[in-house]
Amino acid sequence: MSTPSAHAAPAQVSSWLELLATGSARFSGDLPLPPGCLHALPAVSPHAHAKFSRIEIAAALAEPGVVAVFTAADIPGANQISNLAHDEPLLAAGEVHCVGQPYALVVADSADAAWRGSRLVTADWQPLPACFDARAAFAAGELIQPPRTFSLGDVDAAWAACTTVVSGEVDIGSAEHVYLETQCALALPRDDGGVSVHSATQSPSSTQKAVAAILGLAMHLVEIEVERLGGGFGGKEEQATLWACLAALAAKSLGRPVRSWPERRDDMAITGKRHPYQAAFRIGLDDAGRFVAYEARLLQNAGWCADLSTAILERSLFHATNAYFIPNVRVTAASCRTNLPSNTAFRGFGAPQGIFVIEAAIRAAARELGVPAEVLQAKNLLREGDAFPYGMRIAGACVGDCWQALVPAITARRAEFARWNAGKPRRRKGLAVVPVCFGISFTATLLNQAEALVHVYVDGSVVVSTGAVDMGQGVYGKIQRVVALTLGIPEALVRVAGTSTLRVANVSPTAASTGADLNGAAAREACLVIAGGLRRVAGELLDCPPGSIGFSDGVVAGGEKTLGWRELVAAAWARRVCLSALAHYATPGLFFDRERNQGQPFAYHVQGVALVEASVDVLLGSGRVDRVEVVHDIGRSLDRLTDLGQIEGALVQGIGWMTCEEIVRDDAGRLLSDSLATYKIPDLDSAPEIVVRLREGAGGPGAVLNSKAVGEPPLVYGLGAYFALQEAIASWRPEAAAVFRTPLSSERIFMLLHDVA
Amino acid sequence: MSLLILNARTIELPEDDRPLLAFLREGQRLTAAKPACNGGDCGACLVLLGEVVPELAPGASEARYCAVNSCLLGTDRVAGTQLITAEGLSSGPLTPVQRALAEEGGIQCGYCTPGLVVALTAALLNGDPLLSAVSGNLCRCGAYAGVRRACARIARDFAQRPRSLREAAALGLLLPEVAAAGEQLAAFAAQATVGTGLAEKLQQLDALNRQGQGRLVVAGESDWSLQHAHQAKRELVAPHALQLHRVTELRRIRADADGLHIGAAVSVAELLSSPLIAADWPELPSFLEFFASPAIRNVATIGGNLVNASPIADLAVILLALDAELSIVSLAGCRRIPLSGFYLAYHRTGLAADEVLSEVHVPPAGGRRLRYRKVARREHDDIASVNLALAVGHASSGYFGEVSLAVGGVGPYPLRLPRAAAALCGRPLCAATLREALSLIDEEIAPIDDLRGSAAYKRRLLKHLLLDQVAALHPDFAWEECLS
Ligand SMILES: Cc1cc2nc3c(=O)[nH]c(=O)nc-3n(C[C@H](O)[C@H](O)[C@H](O)COP(=O)(O)OP(=O)(O)OC[C@H]3O[C@@H](n4cnc5c(N)ncnc54)[C@H](O)[C@@H]3O)c2cc1C
Ligand code: FES
Ligand code: FES
Repeated sequence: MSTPSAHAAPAQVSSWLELLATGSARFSGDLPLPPGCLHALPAVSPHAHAKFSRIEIAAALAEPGVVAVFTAADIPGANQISNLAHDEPLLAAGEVHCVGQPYALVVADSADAAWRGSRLVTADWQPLPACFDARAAFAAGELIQPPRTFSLGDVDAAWAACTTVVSGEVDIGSAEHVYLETQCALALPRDDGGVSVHSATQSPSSTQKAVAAILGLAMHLVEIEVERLGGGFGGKEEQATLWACLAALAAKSLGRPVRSWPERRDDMAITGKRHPYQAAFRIGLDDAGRFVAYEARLLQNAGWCADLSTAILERSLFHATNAYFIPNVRVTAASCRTNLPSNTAFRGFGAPQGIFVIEAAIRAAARELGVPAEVLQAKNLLREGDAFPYGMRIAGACVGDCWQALVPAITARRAEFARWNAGKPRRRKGLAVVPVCFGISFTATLLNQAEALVHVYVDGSVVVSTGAVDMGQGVYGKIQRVVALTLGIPEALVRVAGTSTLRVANVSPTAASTGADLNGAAAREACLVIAGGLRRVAGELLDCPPGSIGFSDGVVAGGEKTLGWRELVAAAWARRVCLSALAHYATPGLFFDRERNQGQPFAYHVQGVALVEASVDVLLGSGRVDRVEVVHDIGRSLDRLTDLGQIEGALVQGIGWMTCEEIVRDDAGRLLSDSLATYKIPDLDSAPEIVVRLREGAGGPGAVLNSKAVGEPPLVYGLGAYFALQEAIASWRPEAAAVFRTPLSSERIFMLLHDVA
Repeated sequence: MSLLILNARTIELPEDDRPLLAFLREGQRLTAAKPACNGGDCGACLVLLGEVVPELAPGASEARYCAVNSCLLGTDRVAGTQLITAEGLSSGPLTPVQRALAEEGGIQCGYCTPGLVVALTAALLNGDPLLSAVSGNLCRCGAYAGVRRACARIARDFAQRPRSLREAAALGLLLPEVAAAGEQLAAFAAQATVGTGLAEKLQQLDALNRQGQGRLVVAGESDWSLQHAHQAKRELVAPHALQLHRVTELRRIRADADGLHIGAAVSVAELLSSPLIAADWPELPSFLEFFASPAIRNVATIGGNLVNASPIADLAVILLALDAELSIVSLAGCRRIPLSGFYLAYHRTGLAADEVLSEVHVPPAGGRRLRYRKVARREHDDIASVNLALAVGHASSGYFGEVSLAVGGVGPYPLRLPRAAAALCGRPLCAATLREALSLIDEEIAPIDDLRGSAAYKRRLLKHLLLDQVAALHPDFAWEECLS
């Protein structure tokens, strides 16, 4: 390699971002393949529901390059990869429940041969009836668990006090994650009978548990390592496990390294997506426009097995009233079993679906009353101490403040759009204001714990390991900053190591926007332990009380005197003081009683408001979101650029879900929109102008260094795309205001405008 | 044996045609280019392709560099070129493009980043606008706001664009040794003798045909590689398809008294920037910005677009409205037919296995104006649900002149609508005229339900497209009155 002349002198440490920028960062699929590495792909069901008794593998085995074909009978341990419900075999045995369900595994010496082999496996299929619709599944009693109800006040009595009561129905579509890096796992057999797996997973420990179970091994023989993810968005929380288990099964059985890395089409056809919901609502208001009663029934289309569906459903319930106070509420939700690939976590985790329903109900009420929705919304925002339907009260309410900050913009746009549309132009405009109030913490209380391992080396450099997985949300950068701030050293001295179950055990998934809060707090605890030891040494060296020692920017100060960080570390080592710490953090104060559906499930709430502006060409039906203005509560940002990026990116994802993204299947349940040619995600041109104002304020308990979680809540702003477009459409065709069915694709908009029938 | 300059090194290409992305990643261990969609839809796999193209300017020795999708190309296609991957841009310290993306929030997970960097570097090398250069780069993290900020910064920092690879290297945009290797490209390409004449290609095609291999020609490979998934033993079906993109006769655009003559291997990007095209049809380039992504436009050819016979092929619809004709050659000679007689059935044309499309002839504009519009699920970088081209001649005010109308997405192949067009020809520009034309359209089209929309949608949308185009020509035209 030559030395580049025109470039600046190389920096000491390549930062995380620099690796990504140059393209030298390694994702799982970029790891060099070990010699003799094989490739594995599953053969999947062509039927949405069928029984079978015999699998034909001869043709696949005869395909040049194919080395082995495995079926359920070849699994040494338990044929089970589900983390919660134990209802999901790795390879189907006797019955398949969706198109795309794996029932055999083909291993070959090239990925292409594995692909061909996987298409040559077949079985003696005996097709059975299939159901794809949540309402039909509900009617047939096909439920993943009994329905759950969250309530507050007395809804039945409250209707009498309402002067306006409006009801309606809602259909919310699915969405594909399209993490740009497809699922990937590389498994390496070890001499001790165990396996090491490089897995693109958000959840290293549940992957480890499943691999161990499949292979019949103790967990200490299975090691999961995660480099970094090319996007996850929830799609690699539970569903990365499949690929890790497939690769591990083949690796352990054949004694050779095996990679399982589906291409886009296979990934899209096999993995689950965002849960579609069907819902019915009823909302009642008094004559002052206050919400008095709200009732809703949410039917979640779970797909064929539980996956995370029940937890996702629960979050829909938690957020069913979004950022509003409603004294009388009853929301019932059911997770319905259908013959689709099992739907799974997707940024927002059910909250956006629950919120869509209340936002639709508010639009329906506003239409009935002949006022803009924001008039009703503003009157009913949560105020300090207001109760949620799950026994918690809001502390640190600021959604009203965020709203106030947007009022001038809302008022101006409202007037401007009214004038514009009054001229009956071809391009109609609409706006929507969407507040959010998002609870932070895993709603499964036990997951709200984390561990961090920090080593300080004798040269003063520091490495920190946690269970957090970086998938673009910047959690490594935040942990690096927490460690640097806590030890008072430059960030360049801190390296965040890749995630490994060997360094940190029993980790919670990086999900629920909690990655930085939990792992940052654990890292901070570990640093404080090390700093405690160092402080005593510094006190001796500087001849002053340990309590008066300060660490800042690599300088240790006490009294009038100072000492370099490196010097102190070397001195501490020489005095046999411990320079490593493993610390544990558990978010305090959380509990939830699932019998009564009451408790304190969240550490705090993230709040904010967005003004979404959209327009529609009424002749051709093309719509676009033109501009979004956001005021978002961030606490004290640890990294403004990262937080800004999370808000902008979540918004674009939310807009895509509401507009151009549509999952299309045929009547037999086969996915038709199975590539990026037919499943359209937002591009640069369709991303709107986004203006974000970060509202800095108090952090809240559990927000690391008062920096609030940011990954998921802003996705809710994207829902505004639907309601803003709907308003623009309704200015031409008023009946459209009563339709709540996503996505508003160009075809759907056109049909609403011109063919309401 | 074929050679390639890969970044700064000259290497041998494999004997059989392999998917380029896999060759780079697995064969050469260059993993910056990412597989993400494997279908040309996302730009994560972009690499810079440097070619000396004497076909375009005889005696030219300057290489042209453009971003191409490595997931669509085969290794045969890059013989005698220089490929620059993200690894060839920097060896640690960031280039100004990379720095801008990193510092302006244009990078989240980073999976799309190498593709973005390649697209922006290509734009700087070619003096292209930055934002449109990355319009085909999908970022699922949605870091578009950051990408926009980065583009703005790069545009500020590079008011003066580099005029050569050497200058670009001096500005830190790529490694000096890669630029130095690029300077050898002209000599290298001459050695590699990739370009052959049409006659020789026809001989080879004839030989293949005699072996019963069928018509195995490729131009941009953007469509061909989707039809021949590499997993499905492409190497056995087509060990070496005949490359048309370096055939001199097929790469030229000429203008004479008979109009324009466009070689079949002219790329969409070349059409878009050709002064000859713009002289006759000034609005055509702006319509072509809705054709695929910049990287696809760099390889996709006019011939491939016509022969591939997709029912919504953009150029086919435009050229039908312009009354284009085709020259078709084989060892037996050359025949010339109107494009409107070329399509026989869904994805079937009148081209025989031993024939090659050589030229597209477009009659002189003669005062005609062209309008074109497509509607798709996503406005940019998407295949049309329905598209419509309209060519209109001079007329006295308040009247239609000559009208020719072509549409896509509403039949088995791109269609002309002669009866609807005749209903407009010479008639007063009013709602009654349009209503009659719209009712004739109903009889001339037969859309079907598919992923691009229901038949009912496409039927109605097509009519609205006609109103839209008339409104574009006559801003005070009252389209509302024509809606049923
Ligand atoms: C991501 C993506 C986006 C796209 N977007 C669009 C779009 O917006 N609009 C659109 O119209 N198309 C689009 N396409 C389709 C395709 O890119 C175009 O049709 C393109 O013009 C094909 O040209 P090519 O040179 O790449 O053809 P190739 O793939 O090289 O060839 C296509 C077919 O034509 C034959 N062929 C090519 N040249 C000749 C010739 N001179 N004589 C005889 N036979 C020939 C080949 O044998 C082959 O069968 C898209 C494709 C992709 C992958
Ligand atoms: S991998 Fe998406 S364009 Fe090539
Ligand atoms: S940064 Fe993740 S896809 Fe662009």
